[in-house]
Amino acid sequence: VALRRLVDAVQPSDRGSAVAAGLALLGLGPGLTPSGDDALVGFLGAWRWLSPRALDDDIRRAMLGALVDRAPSGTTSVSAEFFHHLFHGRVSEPLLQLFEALIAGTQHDVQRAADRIAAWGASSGLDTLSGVHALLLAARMAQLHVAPDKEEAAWD
Amino acid sequence: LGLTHAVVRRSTYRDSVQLMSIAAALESMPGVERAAVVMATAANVELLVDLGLPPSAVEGVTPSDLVVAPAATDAASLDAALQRAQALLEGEPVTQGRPADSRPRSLIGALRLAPAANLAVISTPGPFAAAEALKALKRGLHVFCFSDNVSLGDEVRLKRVAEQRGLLCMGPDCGTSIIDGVPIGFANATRPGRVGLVSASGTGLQEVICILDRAGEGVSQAIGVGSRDLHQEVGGAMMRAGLQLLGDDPATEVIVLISKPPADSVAAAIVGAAQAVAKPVVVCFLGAEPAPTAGTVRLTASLAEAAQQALHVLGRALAQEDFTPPDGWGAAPAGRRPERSLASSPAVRSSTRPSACFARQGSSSRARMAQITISSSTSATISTRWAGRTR
Repeated sequence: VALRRLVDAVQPSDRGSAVAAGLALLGLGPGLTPSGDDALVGFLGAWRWLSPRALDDDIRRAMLGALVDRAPSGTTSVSAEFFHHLFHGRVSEPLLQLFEALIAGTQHDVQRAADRIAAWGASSGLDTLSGVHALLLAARMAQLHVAPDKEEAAWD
Repeated sequence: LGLTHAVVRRSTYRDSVQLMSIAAALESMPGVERAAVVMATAANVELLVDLGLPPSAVEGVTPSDLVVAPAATDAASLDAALQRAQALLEGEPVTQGRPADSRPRSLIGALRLAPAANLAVISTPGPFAAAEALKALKRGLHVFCFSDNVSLGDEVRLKRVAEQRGLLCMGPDCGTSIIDGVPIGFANATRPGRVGLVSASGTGLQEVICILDRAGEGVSQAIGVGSRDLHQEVGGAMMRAGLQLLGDDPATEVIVLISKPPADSVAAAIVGAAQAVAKPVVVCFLGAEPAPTAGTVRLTASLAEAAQQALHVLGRALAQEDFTPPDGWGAAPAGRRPERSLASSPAVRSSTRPSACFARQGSSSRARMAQITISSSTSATISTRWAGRTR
């Protein structure tokens, strides 16, 4: 539900609600890296690397900034470390491979990268993937909502 | 009853898989409906309180604390679940054989646990391996460097340091050694014997050892040196060091050297060094032109021939069936555990020895695996963990 709220919040380019939706996931759920954190890493990582045109990158930066600020007190130190690295443009290698596969790889590449991530931990990998998926969904929905004239402009 | 009580463990980190298994263990108890096992982040605490947990049960928690909150149908089940949770949390980590705090996270930590160790197994991503290997050498440890992707320049430097200190630097990119009967990396379980080997080819090494074993002969020491030891730049530094050690080792009666074809000058230097050893030496440069016997040195071009020559020197004949695994190979007789007294060899003493029985295998390769444990991605440990059952 919280992830769904995040998907909805990032589309209308409303910085405040997007940041709030992101913070609502911080430290939420089971695991040494709580599920919400894993999903956020997948979500924001995909946003950073795939940089969908339909989404406003300022919002991503605002969310990430807020999360990095709050992570040390809001979640486990392992998770906080992930946000710290994400802030500095670093994600784990398998995740990077997934992004590369999504940009320029074959379906098989994507599948293989996703399988590798899914194997992480108890559920962390799947949580991360759901974050990536949520971002793709948000981007797609935002793209559909772009006004027709703007959409044309976007293709130029 | 819903969530009424919680066990809080301060500053407790457990791997997610273990957290899940604790939850599963509690949920399998009678009368326990479900169990929350979560880190006490603000979001999680809020959720637990929403689910009915009294705020007093989680007062003052921080995100580094672990909360276990079972929901039980009756007070007795709840008590049992809370007790079990305590026990599970106090017990050893579920999937580890040893408590977490005894697993070293650095070479120095490992040395603190095993001050008498004299061999470090390095298995880290390549860019970190040279630094770890250098640390080990500088502390007087022999090195077995499983890692590859170490630059040739670093390899030259490492082996130079090893030479200066009279240590072995097996690798980088070394997959197999058998030191005092202890397989390091990947090695076949073969009988102890009189043949000492030094090899820049792990697979070649294993093949020769297997042929020797089938013919009833065994290994005194098998020293891997890494695939690039006989490159021009490295100059066969460790092959020469290994040769010398085996030359001085009373348990070794014949020496076998194995490599892919080396640089000409290196080949000449190795053969020269071999001639200086007062024991028969069989040299196998794979695929090289067969050359005549030169004094005590026999040059061979194939692994099988190298094994055959070694056996010949020892007065053993090699039958055709020694090359062909017979039916039921996997059910080879017991008693071939490669275990010898640690103090038996003056050449190289390893700090480790296999503690578990090796499983018999049905496969024709008869390979048995020693798993190298690394405690973190960037540090090495001295310990190796033996796979009691490899398949």
